[in-house]
Amino acid sequence: MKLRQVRDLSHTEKRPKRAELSALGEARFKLTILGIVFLIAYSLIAFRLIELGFYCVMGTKIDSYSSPFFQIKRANIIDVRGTTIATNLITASVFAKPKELLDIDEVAKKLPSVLTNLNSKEIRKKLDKRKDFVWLARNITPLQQMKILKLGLPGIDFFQEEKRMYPHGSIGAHIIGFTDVDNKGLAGIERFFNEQLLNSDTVVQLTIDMRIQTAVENEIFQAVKKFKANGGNSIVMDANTGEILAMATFPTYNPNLPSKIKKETLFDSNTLGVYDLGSIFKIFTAAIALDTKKITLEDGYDATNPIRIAGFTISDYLGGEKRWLSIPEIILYSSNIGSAKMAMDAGTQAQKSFFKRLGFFEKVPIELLELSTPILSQSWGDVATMTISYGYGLAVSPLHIVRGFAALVNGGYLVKPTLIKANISPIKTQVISETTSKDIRRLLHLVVQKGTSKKARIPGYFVGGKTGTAEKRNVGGKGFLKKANITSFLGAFPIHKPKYIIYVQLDDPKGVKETHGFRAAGWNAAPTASAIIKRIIPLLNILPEDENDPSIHKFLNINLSPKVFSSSAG
Amino acid sequence: MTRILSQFWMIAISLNLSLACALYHIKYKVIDLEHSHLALQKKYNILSESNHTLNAEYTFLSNPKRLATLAKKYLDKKYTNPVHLQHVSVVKLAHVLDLKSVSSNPIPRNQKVYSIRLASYQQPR
Repeated sequence: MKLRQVRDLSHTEKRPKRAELSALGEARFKLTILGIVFLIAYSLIAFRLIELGFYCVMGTKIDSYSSPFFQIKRANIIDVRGTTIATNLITASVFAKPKELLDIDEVAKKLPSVLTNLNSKEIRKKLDKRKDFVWLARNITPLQQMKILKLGLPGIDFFQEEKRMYPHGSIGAHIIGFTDVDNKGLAGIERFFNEQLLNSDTVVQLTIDMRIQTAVENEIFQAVKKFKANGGNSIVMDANTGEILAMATFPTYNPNLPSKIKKETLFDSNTLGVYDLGSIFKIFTAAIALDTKKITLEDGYDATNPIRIAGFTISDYLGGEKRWLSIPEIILYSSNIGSAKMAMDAGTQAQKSFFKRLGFFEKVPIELLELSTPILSQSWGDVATMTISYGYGLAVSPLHIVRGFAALVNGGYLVKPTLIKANISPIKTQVISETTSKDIRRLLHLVVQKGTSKKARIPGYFVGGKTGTAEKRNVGGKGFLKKANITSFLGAFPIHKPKYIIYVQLDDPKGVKETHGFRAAGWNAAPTASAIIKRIIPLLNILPEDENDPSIHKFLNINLSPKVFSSSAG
Repeated sequence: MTRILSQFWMIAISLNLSLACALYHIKYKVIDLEHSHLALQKKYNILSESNHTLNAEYTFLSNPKRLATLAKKYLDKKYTNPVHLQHVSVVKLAHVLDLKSVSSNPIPRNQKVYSIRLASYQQPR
């Protein structure tokens, strides 16, 4: 029994041993797993701690590496050849934190040696201890910044800003315009394309060629000086596309110094000024009469006696030729009487409708906001028709006249003047016939060869044009100023295949020694136009032509003697 | 069964660890690349800014008004005039291209004298 008990005991003792062993193994295994889990967990925590430690260091490294992306706030403006006209440069502006300043007196004493436009008193006044932040100078030069840094003034710091720069200075200022200190466009292209320039990186490419613009501005400046004029302006435009190559006005301003711009220099005579342009209108009158087929170049009018109508007397300059004049002669001698009769034959309605087609009653559609509306004659009757025929009674801007003139010579198509280079074909509207356009070109060539615009002649080149000498409008009063003139020249070259239009205007030029005391356009505006053409021809790659070329002569030849004299007015 | 389970756990843990290591490596690789990118970006920014400033400086220094003033001051040069322009057909090219007549110095014996033949050109109309 005892033995059995022992056996039983031995049996029961053996069994738990095996279970114990397996339980031990299981426990070991679980412990290992747990250990590994804990190891992973603690390793992760350790890694994370190391990582955080490193990350902070690396984070600072990233910060030290990172710099504000070079992103200019305002896009560039370039000319037709890609030359930069307007660009933004990173500049520093200096500010102070008066509360952090250790010694205001030291700052007030030292800073004026660098910021020369401020004196100690002004600086001390600005550094009011109650203020947290105060600007001391905006957009300083790198040299000034370096000098201020060398002064080592605590509480004086710099803020990175952008400044609009115009590397060509005053050249093309009226077209480009300028911006304020906050990069907001205030005039010209800068104003018209303000949103686009601010919100897009795309540069604005102009049709202006800065080489031509410089040449034109230089010649206008020389002419103003030479003829003692109050001012002058000029436009060079592509006759077929309406692209403006140069548009200059003097006096001008420097857009780099907006605070120093005088109000009167902001006035752009080409787009804002409206003028009675005188005899230049005679070529438009001839175009109306020819295009309405009321006359041909073979016709003529009696210009022997002045026209007396409604208390007005229309006479020719210095008495005129006092005889019958053919249509070419009317233009050649710039006869007011002949023009008035021609306009009357064409009719008031035809004149109105023609000028409307040329866009003379509204603002010129161009990428500028500084535009003027023409001044029309209040009552457009017979008298107005006659006076408008030779350039009094309809005041338009030079840009209007250039646009209209392009249509007269380019085959009869009205183009939209533009300052923006767009590689698309221009929209053209036919306003006169090709035949009329040819006749007009012949008349214009005649005027330069034999008429009032002889001084615009250039050997080797065929230039056509018409001068205009008009009395200035009495601003604020009635009528015109007898002793102050607006002289102008409106031409095209080469006249047999017009490519470019040139307009030159001088405001109140005086009679000088070289002009023998004369102040008519033929003595000042025409030679100025010639000087401009001479300067720009090499830039436009126009080669001289054979002046005796029979085909050109045949095209431009015109018969001066009238065959038939028929006129209702004459 | 226990052995299979334990082997499975071992494999899973090893995989997990390898993955963690790989991720760790990739993460730091990415951080390194980010640093390189930022460093390059910074260099690019500096170069762009310099290029931008140099372009403005070049435009200022080469503006036609300034060049004309300098040419007048130092070179006694005047503007090109239409009289300086001629069509190639009008210019006496034979004279211009005659090397002997151009050079006043005698040509050394060993120097070759190239004969220049002009392409035919059309008379402009």
